[in-house]
Amino acid sequence: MINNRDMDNVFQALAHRSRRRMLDIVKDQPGIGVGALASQFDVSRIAVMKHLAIIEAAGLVISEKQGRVRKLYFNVAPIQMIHDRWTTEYSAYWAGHLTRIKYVAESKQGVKEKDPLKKKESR
Amino acid sequence: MNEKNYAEKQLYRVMIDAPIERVWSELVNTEFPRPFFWNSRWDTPEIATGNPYRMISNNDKTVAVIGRILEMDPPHRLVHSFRLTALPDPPSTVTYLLKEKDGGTEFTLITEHVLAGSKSEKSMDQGSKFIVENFKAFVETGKVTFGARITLAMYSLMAPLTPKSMSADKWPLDKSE
Repeated sequence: MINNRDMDNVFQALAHRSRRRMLDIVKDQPGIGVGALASQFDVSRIAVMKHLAIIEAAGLVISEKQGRVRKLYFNVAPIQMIHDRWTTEYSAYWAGHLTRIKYVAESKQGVKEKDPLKKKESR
Repeated sequence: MNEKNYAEKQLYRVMIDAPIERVWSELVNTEFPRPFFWNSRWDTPEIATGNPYRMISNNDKTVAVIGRILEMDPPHRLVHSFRLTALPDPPSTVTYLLKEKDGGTEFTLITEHVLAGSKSEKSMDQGSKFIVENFKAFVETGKVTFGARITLAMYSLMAPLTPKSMSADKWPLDKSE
């Protein structure tokens, strides 16, 4: 589970329109250079670097130096962990569905004679 | 196959609150099923450079992944080729990087040479998210996330429906690429 301090950093990083747009760009163009990213914003390069430092500290972007270029990659893991914190009920929902699919498949194979799905629908 | 056919590499990173040696030993444990690898187990003579491996189910019936260990530098770096047995796509490369940071371990999974637009690309993206999140949970708490536990329970229910193409006898170790 993601700890509270790390989660604060993620929400703080996401709480700015420009930083969200930066993430969109990096996600769509994995490996984009810092310069290429900065050129898509009207603000100064220094301002871009400041924003970038915040999303990098939050772990949402990973940078790698390749020669002279610093390449940027989106890291989905922090958002994935936040997503899961509030959505496990949905996993259970889908697990329930898939279990029923299994029953149907088995009944079609003749493993089980009764189809629990049909039974449920007829109620 | 030229570089253009491949998707740009993807990185998945989490901070794990545990010493690097422990994180490493959980990653390369060949003895027990790894819940963060969908309860499959490393099947290999030894995790060492050049050796073949396969990820085999606990009942030894199903192989989901085959490949070869390409680089091994404990406790910092493990690189292996990776091919999903259920899909016709060529092997790609998976790298695990471990780095000591702020008293814990920074854990990064990198996927490379994945055929752009392929089913493997989609599957590996979903899979990588599952692995990093649940590897962290497993090392820190001894168990994977609640959502993952449901997924794993569902998988074991679905086991009879596993495609025959993934049957372990179809994927002997010496067939690994």
